[in-house]
Amino acid sequence: MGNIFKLSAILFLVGGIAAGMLAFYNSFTKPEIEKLKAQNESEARQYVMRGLFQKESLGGLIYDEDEIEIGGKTEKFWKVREKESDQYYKAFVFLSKGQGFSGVVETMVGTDASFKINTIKVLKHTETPGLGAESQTVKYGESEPFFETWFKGKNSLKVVVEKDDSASPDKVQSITGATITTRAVCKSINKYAEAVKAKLDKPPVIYVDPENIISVEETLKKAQADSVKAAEESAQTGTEGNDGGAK
Amino acid sequence: MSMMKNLTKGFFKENPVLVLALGLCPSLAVTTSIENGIGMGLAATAVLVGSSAIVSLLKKFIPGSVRIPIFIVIIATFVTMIDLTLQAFIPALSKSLGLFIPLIVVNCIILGRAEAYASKNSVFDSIIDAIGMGIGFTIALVLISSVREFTGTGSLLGYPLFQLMGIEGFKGSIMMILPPGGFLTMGLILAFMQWNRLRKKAKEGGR
Amino acid sequence: MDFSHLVVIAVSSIFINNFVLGRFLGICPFVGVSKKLDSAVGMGMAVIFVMTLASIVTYTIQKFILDPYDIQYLQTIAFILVIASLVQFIEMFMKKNMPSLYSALGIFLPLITTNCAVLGVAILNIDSTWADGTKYNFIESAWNGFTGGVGFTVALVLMAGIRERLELADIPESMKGLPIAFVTSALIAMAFLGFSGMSIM
Repeated sequence: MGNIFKLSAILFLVGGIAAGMLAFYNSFTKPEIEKLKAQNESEARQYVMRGLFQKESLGGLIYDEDEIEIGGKTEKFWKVREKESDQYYKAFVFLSKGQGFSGVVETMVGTDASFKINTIKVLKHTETPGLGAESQTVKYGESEPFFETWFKGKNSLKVVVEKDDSASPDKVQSITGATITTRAVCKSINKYAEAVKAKLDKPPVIYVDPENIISVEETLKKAQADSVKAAEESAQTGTEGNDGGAK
Repeated sequence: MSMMKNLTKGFFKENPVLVLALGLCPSLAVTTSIENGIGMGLAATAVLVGSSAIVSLLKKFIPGSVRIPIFIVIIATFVTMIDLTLQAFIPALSKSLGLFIPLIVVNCIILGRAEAYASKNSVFDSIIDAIGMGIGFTIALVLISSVREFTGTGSLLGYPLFQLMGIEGFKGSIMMILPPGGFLTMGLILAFMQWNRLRKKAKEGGR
Repeated sequence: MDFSHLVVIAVSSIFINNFVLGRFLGICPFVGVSKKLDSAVGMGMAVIFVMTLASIVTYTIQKFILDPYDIQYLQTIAFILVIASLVQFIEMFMKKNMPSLYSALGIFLPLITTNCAVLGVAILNIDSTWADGTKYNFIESAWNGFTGGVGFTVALVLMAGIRERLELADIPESMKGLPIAFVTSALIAMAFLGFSGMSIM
């Protein structure tokens, strides 16, 4: 009987020492891991904003954090200003997530104020090496992944895989053998861009469409008129159709 | 046994993957590119050296009847440390090896070495043995991954050799990067090892 | 409770991402115990049993011990110890109460501790997420463990069937044993790649 106690005491001791050492080690690496995460996020944000702003101002952009509701969960996105005095947001950054072939594909998307994609960056995926994983591959002699360049200049609300709609101006090719991955990226971008737009279309609206500049007051008025109209409609039908309005 | 012999026996003569057929899961799963192969090999080597040293250091204090659980705890501690280190300092590698870093715990090479060698020999000898076995594992991974990367994508370490030589058109067969390629490469390499062994045996027998 | 999730998990872990042929988990027993059909079936059953139980236990530990106290870094060590003692416990229980089952599965149980499919499924249960960012819940984890074990068994039994025939075949001396087993699994894996065209989302 005494033997059992001795053995379990030894096992317990070994386990305790191991756990203590790991806790000690973890206290060193944890801040590093978090720092790296934050750094990666800010680097990815800067990456998807390249070319949209002057090179010098890229580092000093102001990212105002905001939230959207997607499938019952709150996700964050960023509204981008160049300097503190700016009245309007010139760009948006959001992190879209979609079910790929063997897991979730996370893509950082940078758009201008008309939701035209500036650049995307695939951050996380568990796709098959050689197929879906090609979404992060940089070909020899090129500076950025070929997959990301396909998305440049497409409308984030409408971007679609060529196989699904070959007539669309916002079509992108699919990676050879990995249509599912490509489709997942497109669909997730559509979904998140839609949600961001819906959120921003609610008053007070402060973003600017570069082709059709609307001032804050005008958008406010328009939004008010819309909500009045919506209220009238719902009163007519007699339902409480107040789901945020924008669809 | 001399130190040199102790070190180099793991390279080819007793190579853990190619001869002893241990640690097959990671040697098939992460060998899609040479970089991954080297990363996995070095991570496993670090765990192997650390756990062999500790096991051999504590061999007098570990009661025989609970030795396996204690070995597992020691190995798991080192694996977690390597995991945290990779996450903090080499996140790209940590991401591409993914699940297979924690799975180093169940890699038979490490538990096998702890049981068969480190628990019976001196600390110094165990460390040398562990380094040798770790390098052998890395050699095997690099061998498999270079075959797969080259035939699968036509490049080595990310450099497209054929394109650099001016030969366009060789794109490689994606099949070799996908799971079947792993099995096929492993099978053919093992067949080669066996062929070599049989040939040597026949030579000796003929003499 | 979303029933479609269970279907997705089952199809995925048996066919599309088969634990052995698609994810490379549990290769050692796959080539080691696939010489005879009988022992392959026995091993498969033991693995299904252990993987299901291990999924249930490790999920509970993660949710009620590791997550609340924020000690996720102890995951590997906790999971492997739990799996090892679980296997030991099952072995003792079977020996005492179900001797007939023990004589059929007993010899495979110790081998399972170092089967990476078991630890693999435990970690996958915690790491996997659905498209909307939610994690696997308790039932989904247990189901993933069960179907993962079924996937392993399917691969193992297929392999054993082929290898029993291969015994009679006239193959080159240097291909005998492991090499031909790996080449055969390459062909099976190729066939399983056909499932990857399935769209179940």
